[in-house]
Amino acid sequence: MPSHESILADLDNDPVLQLLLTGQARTVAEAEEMYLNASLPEVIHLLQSSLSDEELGQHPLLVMFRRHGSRGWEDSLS
Amino acid sequence: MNTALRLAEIVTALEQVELTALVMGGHAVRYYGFERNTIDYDLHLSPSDWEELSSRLNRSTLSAGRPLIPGPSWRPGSFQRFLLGHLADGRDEWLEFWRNNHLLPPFADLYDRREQGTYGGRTLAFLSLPDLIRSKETERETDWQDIAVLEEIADGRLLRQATAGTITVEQALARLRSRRGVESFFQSGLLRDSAVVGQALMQTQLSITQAILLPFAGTEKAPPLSTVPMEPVVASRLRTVAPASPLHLSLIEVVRRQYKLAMQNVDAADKKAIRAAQANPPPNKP
Repeated sequence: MPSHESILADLDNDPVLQLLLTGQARTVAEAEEMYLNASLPEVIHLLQSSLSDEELGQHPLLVMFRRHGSRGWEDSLS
Repeated sequence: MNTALRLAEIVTALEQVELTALVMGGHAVRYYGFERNTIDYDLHLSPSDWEELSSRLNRSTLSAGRPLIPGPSWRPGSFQRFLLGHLADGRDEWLEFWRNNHLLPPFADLYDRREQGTYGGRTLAFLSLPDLIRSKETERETDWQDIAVLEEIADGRLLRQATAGTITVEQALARLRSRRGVESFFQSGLLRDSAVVGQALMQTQLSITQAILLPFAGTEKAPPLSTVPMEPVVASRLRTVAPASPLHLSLIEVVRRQYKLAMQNVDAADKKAIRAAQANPPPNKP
């Protein structure tokens, strides 16, 4: 089980949470949109890393891109 | 009276005073299949009718003997609006005309590509679906919500046309934009022939479509320069990623977002330039 310190450190490093806590965004959806709009450098950094395609496809940032992007057919079933 | 019938009535009144226009905006979105509320009537007027627009409107049945009241416009040379009346809930009912829209090609081209269909009980002429999508690439987030649905509708049409053989697969692929479109074409086997995909890739200047096609194409050839160029690291990865994999679908969305942000910036810059020109008009000639 992660310690309180590591949980707090994770929260400190969460860019979406930071946007909410600093009042730059009013909702989670708005914060995620703002984060994605500014995230191209982070995407490039990830693509230049040693992560495999499978690992990149499951990375939270790239999952968020899919979630906020054009709908797939499975989205209409949920 | 519902708004579709009202629009049909308005177009009939415009025709009676020989004003030529194409329906755009929310009613065109509804015509193409996205049921959403709209209370304004947006039209692209033939530029040759522009100078006489006000006088002809006031001769039409829309004026009912009283001159229509023009509304404010911060693009007075390109856009005019007139107050038609008030809805039952008290909201204003506006009739809006573009002479030339900064996002669209000249009216003659739009008119050549127009789509005619039944709406409000009669045949009306609408902006073509690709032109309607282009007209909505603005700063406004609500326009991009329309685009997301219109892209799916456009891709559904392309799939039907390609399957029926009324357009080639290559032509359809060169216009693909939505994730549902990708999934439908993939499941139909229409993305299987890498040579056809490669030919489609060479026909599109839209970075979103290029991002969709690159992994399926398996070509080293560079696609045409896109209107919003792809980030090279992203473009390079798209050449090696497995087609339709989670990473591929994510990278399409990365490219789509960069395209959207770029187009929003273009629209914002256009508005800023107009505001600056209005704030600092050129000195009058002696």
